[in-house]
Amino acid sequence: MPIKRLAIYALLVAIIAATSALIVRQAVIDNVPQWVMKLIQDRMADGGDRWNTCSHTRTYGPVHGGVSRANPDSMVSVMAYDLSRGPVRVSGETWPNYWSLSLYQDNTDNYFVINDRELETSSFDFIISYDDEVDPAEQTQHITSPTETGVMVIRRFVRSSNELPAVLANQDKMYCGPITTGS
Amino acid sequence: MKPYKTGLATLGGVVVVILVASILSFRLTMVWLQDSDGIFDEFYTTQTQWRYSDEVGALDAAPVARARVAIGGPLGLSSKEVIYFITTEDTDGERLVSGCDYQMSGRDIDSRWWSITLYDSTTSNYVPNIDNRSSWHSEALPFNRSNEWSLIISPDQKPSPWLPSQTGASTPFDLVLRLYNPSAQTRADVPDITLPIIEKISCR
Repeated sequence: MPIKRLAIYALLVAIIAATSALIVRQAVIDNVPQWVMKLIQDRMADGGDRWNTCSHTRTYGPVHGGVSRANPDSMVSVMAYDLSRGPVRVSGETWPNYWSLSLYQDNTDNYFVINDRELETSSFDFIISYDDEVDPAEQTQHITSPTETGVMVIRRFVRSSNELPAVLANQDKMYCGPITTGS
Repeated sequence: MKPYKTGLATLGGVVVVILVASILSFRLTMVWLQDSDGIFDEFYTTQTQWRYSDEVGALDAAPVARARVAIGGPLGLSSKEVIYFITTEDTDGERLVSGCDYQMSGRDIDSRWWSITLYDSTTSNYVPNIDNRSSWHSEALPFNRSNEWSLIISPDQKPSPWLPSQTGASTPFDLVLRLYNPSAQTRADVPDITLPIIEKISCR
């Protein structure tokens, strides 16, 4: 094979390889957040039985084996939501030292966050839906999720283990689930 | 060789090239994204060893920043709520490792509350220790009359306030400083606020 022809083949192979590599690289970068979120959601949903249900950390301090670089000073309540089954309601009482409710769409973006000072009341009642089809009679704050699935995290700043019983009581007052029941 | 056979061979070659390049690219991109310190590459530098980010959880985060934060520290709060500072180095610019003891000191930071957390850089997670402590927060740290505080980072138990690092072979760790609901002044001054300094005491 003439040298010139071989060089053209080599150049074509390099162009095809580089183009393929760049396309795959960008696809990986764009999709990694969704893959990570899927893992988190599956873990929170316990393999599928606990979608739209809240789970709570019940111990004070670092809990090993959780998500990377979590904050051990916050005791959290988490919920993986799937709004294909209808809107989800989250209600309960805030926590005095610091409380926030944050929502993450399926690419890990934190599209909504509110803290206790912004809420101005000691109780909260939110409805999360994928569209705007929420009963107007509901006297709650309505949040529209950009994606059908996502994650909710409630953080409470707990100053010491002395506050643990009060935090557990606060967690027990929460409702997470279908819009049709609960307070 | 007949023309159609030549065509098939060429097509097969192209498919092989695409497959090999794609598999290699997938693996290399994942390794690059999962690099233990990779999450910090997308953070802004400051005048000190600390880096900070306002892209954690942000809707307009750059794709690489979003991917790296998703791997290294998912479910962070947006900068509306929290400002994150991270360091992997001491004040001399040397990598933080568990084979050395450090003194960390600073002043109170004007925010609702703040915390410093130590993570094993190889696992991106907490370090097991007898105190079950991975952090100190602004309500627990003892401040002196000048509103200053200091703590010791070491794998060996120290008088309080002690922040335990990894025991055994020397391995890298990182520190995350979180400012919850920073004041308007703090927010305006970031990143030029007085951040903690981390001085090496000794190494084993």
